[in-house]
Amino acid sequence: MRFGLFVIFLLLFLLFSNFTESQEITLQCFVATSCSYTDVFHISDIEDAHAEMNSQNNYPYKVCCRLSNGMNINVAERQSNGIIGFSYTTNAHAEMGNQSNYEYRIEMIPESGEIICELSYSCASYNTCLVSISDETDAHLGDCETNPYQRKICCSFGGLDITINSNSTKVEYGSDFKIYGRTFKAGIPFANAPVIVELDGKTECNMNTNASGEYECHIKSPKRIDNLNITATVFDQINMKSKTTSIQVKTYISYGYEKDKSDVVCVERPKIIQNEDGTIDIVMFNLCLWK
Amino acid sequence: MNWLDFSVSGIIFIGFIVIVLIISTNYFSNKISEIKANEISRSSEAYLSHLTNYGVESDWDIKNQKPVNLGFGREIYFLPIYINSTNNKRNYDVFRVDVEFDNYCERKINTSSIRLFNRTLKEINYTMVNQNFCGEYIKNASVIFYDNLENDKYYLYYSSEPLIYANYTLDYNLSLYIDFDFIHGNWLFDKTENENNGFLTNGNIEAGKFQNSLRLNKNGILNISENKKLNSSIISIDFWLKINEYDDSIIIEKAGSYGIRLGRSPEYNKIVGYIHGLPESHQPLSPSIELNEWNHIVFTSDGNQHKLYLNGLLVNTTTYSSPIPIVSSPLSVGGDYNQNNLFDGNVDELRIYSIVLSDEAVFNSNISIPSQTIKYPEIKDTMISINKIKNSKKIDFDYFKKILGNKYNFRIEVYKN
Repeated sequence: MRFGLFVIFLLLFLLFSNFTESQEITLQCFVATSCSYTDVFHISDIEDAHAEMNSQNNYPYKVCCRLSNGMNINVAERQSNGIIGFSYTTNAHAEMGNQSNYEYRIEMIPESGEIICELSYSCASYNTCLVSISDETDAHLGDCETNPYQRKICCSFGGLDITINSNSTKVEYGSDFKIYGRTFKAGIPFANAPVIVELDGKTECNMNTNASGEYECHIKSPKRIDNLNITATVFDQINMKSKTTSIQVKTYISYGYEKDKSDVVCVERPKIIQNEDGTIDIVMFNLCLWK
Repeated sequence: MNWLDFSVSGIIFIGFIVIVLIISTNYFSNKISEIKANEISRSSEAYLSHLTNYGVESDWDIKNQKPVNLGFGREIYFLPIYINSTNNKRNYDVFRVDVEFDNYCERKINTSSIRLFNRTLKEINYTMVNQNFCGEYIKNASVIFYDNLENDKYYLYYSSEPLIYANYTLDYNLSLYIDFDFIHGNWLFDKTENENNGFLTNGNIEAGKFQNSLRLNKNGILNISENKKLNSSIISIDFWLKINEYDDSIIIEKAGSYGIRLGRSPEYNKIVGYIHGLPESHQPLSPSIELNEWNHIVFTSDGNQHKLYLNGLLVNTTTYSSPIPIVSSPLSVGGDYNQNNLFDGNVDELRIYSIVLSDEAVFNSNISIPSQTIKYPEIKDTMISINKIKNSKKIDFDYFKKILGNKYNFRIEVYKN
């Protein structure tokens, strides 16, 4: 009986731990002579190597990548940026994705989400090391283990993310309110990232996130009754990507006592209004009455 | 009946009475609540109607007074304007609408409240000229605006609400547009914001290419006094012309700067565009033009390339560096400003630009029929005044509660759904 219970708990534990693991998708890349997963590109050797696109078949070493949940990764050519650029389709020198000297560039596109790759001396805070690279452009490549160059192309699953909050979703006419949130890159707080907060398309704050990836913007509500559309955009200048999120904040004007009773009767009617900035709108005039 | 029976039946009776009392109390209590709710509900409708009205005095907020009767409503007026641009092929055009905001000086229309919107309620920049006032409030004015001819309906809103002044800039290259349709005394009004109005001496208005035109009979002239907007180093003159008699006459001239005239003998039947200082051999000349026929003429110059168009087509180009002199001088139509070289014929739809019109723009101007502007009757509505709500905050709430009968507490909230 006790053994049976133990087995059930063990199964539940395994199920749960498997479930939690599946929530955190990670990218794994390695250099091998054949790929069981996605063949990203090829290198002529494991050190001091030239490179070729995965459509070529001249080099013995393949750079292979997989996602921990088994999701498919497509390798696509693109006109600019990408994870890496090549001078030719084979026998090529390489450059980082943020350089723009080479014509042949590739990107890893998962079925959902994003993969980002950056140049770093350590891939400790990334999912994986793709390859090591001798320079930012006109470079040779090597794997990340045998005799790697100091510079590495480090990659992670998970793109940019930004959250947006307001200290109040309903703001009294003409008063201040605060917009704040956090930014993440590949699931990690994105420190010192440029963030622009806009109110109806007009920039209110242009700032950088703090060390925890947080931003904060104080806005004076415009002189109109409206549903303000506020957007926050974070920019990843290395990968030339951006992510925008938005929130609505209502502005209102009120007069009278605060409602402090439950037996309150309210009525409302649509009415025309001309805001102080001259705009014309239809608003609700709400009246609440109590003894 | 013994004591026991009496006690039991007494208890049953008392119990029955208690139950009846409880039921009836609940019933009456519910009834009272219902009556109360109905009463407050009726009151709320009355309060609502009261508070969305104007109050007494209706402009208590502007006068900084405590109202005798509280109301947050205010009159707002709007004027629908319909513009038919079906056959106007230009990229944009100017419109001028004469508006009586407050003919009897009763409404106290605040200039800051005047806003123009298109049918999607997008704000349209405008300016006003010929403004007349009732004290500090506007009485009437001409509202001038430009648009790209994609819209047909506009709404001009105005009220006594004090708002933030709109700081519009009209950045267009049309320096003058006189359509010659209406004459006010001796004045012919420029439809642009530049107020290049012309004073007519010995001429008159008669049927033209489009509605009316300027008729000049070798003794009349239209004078437009010096205006910086016409002092430009780049110009395009665009108009319709009918010649009644060939002669060595000037049609349009900005003294000492630029102009258009009939050719000199023996080419009286041709049109010449000229720049002061440009040799006659480089002044573009048109082909022969028939008498008593309407022709569309455009002359453009940037001081180097000088082009003449006849009925939408380029007929002559000369290239010679002769910068257009920027001089302070009047512009005259029908002769020079000294009333020499007087012209016999008609001029219609005169436009002067501070840019060189493209071939396409000239062609489009030639095939365009001026837009028609129709002003519909003004509509009056009641709006909620932000200014009244803001001003009510300066007054003790108990005062308002008292003037509303001291019966209920209330709160209003204005928001967008």
